Amino acid sequence: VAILGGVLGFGHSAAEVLGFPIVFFWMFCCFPLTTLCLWVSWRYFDRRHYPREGAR
Amino acid sequence: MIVGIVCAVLAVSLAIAFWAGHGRRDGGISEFLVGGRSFPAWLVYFLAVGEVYSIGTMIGLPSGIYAKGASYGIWFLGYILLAYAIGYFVAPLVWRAGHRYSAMTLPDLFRAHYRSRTLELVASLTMLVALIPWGEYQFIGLQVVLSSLGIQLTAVQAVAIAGLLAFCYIAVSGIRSPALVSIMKDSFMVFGVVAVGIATLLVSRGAGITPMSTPTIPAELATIHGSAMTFAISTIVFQAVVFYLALGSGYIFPARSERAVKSSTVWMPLYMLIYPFLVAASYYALRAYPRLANPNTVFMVTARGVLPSWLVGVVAAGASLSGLLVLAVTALAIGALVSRNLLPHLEPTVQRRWTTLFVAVFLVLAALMTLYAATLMLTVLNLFYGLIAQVVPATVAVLYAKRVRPTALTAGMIVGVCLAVALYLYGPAVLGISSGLIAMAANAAVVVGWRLLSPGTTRTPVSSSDQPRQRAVTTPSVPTV
Repeated sequence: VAILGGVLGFGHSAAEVLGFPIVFFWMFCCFPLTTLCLWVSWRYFDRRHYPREGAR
Repeated sequence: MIVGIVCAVLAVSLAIAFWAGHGRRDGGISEFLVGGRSFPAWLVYFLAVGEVYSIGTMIGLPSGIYAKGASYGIWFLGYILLAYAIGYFVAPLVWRAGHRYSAMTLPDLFRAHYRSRTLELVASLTMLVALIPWGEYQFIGLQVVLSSLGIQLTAVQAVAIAGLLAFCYIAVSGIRSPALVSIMKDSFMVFGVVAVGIATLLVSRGAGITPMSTPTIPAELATIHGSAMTFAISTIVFQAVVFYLALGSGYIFPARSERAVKSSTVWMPLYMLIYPFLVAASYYALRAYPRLANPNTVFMVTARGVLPSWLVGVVAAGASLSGLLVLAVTALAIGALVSRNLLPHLEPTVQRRWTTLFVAVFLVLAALMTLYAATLMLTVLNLFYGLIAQVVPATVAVLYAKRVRPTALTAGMIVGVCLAVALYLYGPAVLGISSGLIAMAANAAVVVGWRLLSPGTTRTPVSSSDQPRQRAVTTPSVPTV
C-alpha cells in the first residue's frame, strides 16, 4: 500500500525533497521502513515458529 | 590504471571461485546446482542480492531514467522492494516445495508434484526461452563496461572475455563460486555506486544546483503521468510477483532451512539504500551529457566524468563482477534445465558434466544475440519478465492449489508465452499496462477456467504441510529423481 499509494500520490508532483523528485524520495524512505516492518514481523511473530537449524 | 584495477579484481574473484570449489569437485549434481542445500542465512543473503542487483542496477537503471524518465526508475525500485515483502511470505514455501521433492529447478517441482512430463517440458522450454534474453541483458551491460575502459576492444572480444570468465566461475564449483564471489562483488558495487553518487552531488553543489532542479531537464522526465503511471504501477505489481515465484529458486533452493530463507529476506531492502546515489547520478547525467548516442553508456560516462581514474577502475570492477555473476548463475540455471529437465533419462552422475557443457552452449548463444540484436537494456528486461512470468501460475498451484490438472497449467503456459511474445513484437501497449502482466493474466485465466470446468484429482499443496521447516536437512548429493 505504501509503495503503490506513494507512487500514485506523488508521481504527478514536481515537488522536490533534498533535491530529488518527491516520488523518488518517498520510495527511498520505504527502503528502511520495509526492513523495519519485516524485522518486527520476524522478531515478534514468526521467529518462534522457525527453530534454529539442528534444534528440536 | 582502470584496466589494471579491473583485471586485478577479476583475477582475485577467479581465485575465490577456485577456492570455493576446493574439495568439492566430486560433490555430485546437488552440490553443483544447489550447494547441497547447506547455505546459511548470510550466504543466502549474498547469493540473493548478488543475483538481484545485476548489472542492470548500475548500467540499466541509469540508462532507463536517462532515456525514459522517472516512470522507469520508479518501477525498477518499486518492484524489487515490493518483491521482498511478498518474498518474506512465499519464499519459505518455495524452499519447502524444493525440499519436499528434492527439486533443483522449478520444472523438477512441476514434474514431481503433478507427475507430468509434458508440464515439465513446456515449463523448461519457457524458462529456456526467457533466460536467453536475460543472459543477453548481462552481456549488453558487460559490453558497455568493458568498452568504456579505454582499451581497444571489439564487441566480439568484449563478449568473448565476459563469456569465458562466467564459464570459469561455474565450471569449477557450480553455485558455490558465485555465492562467495557475491560478497566481493557487493563490496565493489556499493563502493562504486556511492562514489559516483557522492561525486555527482558534490559537482552539482559546486555549481549551486540540486541534482534535478535545472531548467534543462524536462518535467516529464521527473514526474509520472498518464499511461506512464499505469505502466509503472502494473509493472511493479507484475514483476514483484514474478520475482520469487519464478526467479527465486536459484537463491532459495541452496538455503539450509526455511528459517535461513525467511530471516535473510528481512534485511534485503536495506541494500537498496544504494539507489539514491544511482538516481542522483542519472539526473546529473541528463544535465551534463544530454545527447548521448547510446543511453546504456550513461553511468560509465558519468563515472569517467566525475571520478579519478583509479576510482573509475573500482566502479568498472563492481559493474563487471555484477554482470559476470548473474551471467554465471543464469548459465548454470540453463545448464540445469537442459540436463535435468529437457534431456530424458540422464543419470544423476553424468548430469554435472552435461550441465557444464550446456552452460558453455548458452553463453555462446547469448553472446551471439548480444552482438547481432543489441537493444536498450530495460526493453530486454521486459521481454525476459514477460516470458519467465508464465511459470508463476504453475508455481502458485504447487504451493496453494488442491485440484488443478497439469494439462490446464500446460495450456495456460503456452497461451501466456505466445501472448507475451506477440505483445512484445507487435502489440501496442494496452492502456500502458505491462504486456507481461496481460500475458500472465491470460495464462491464469486459462488455468482457472479449466479448473472450474474440470478440477481433476486432489493433491496436497505445499502450504498445507509444515513438516520440513522444523528441522534442517541436507539433501543427499545424488538425488533420487
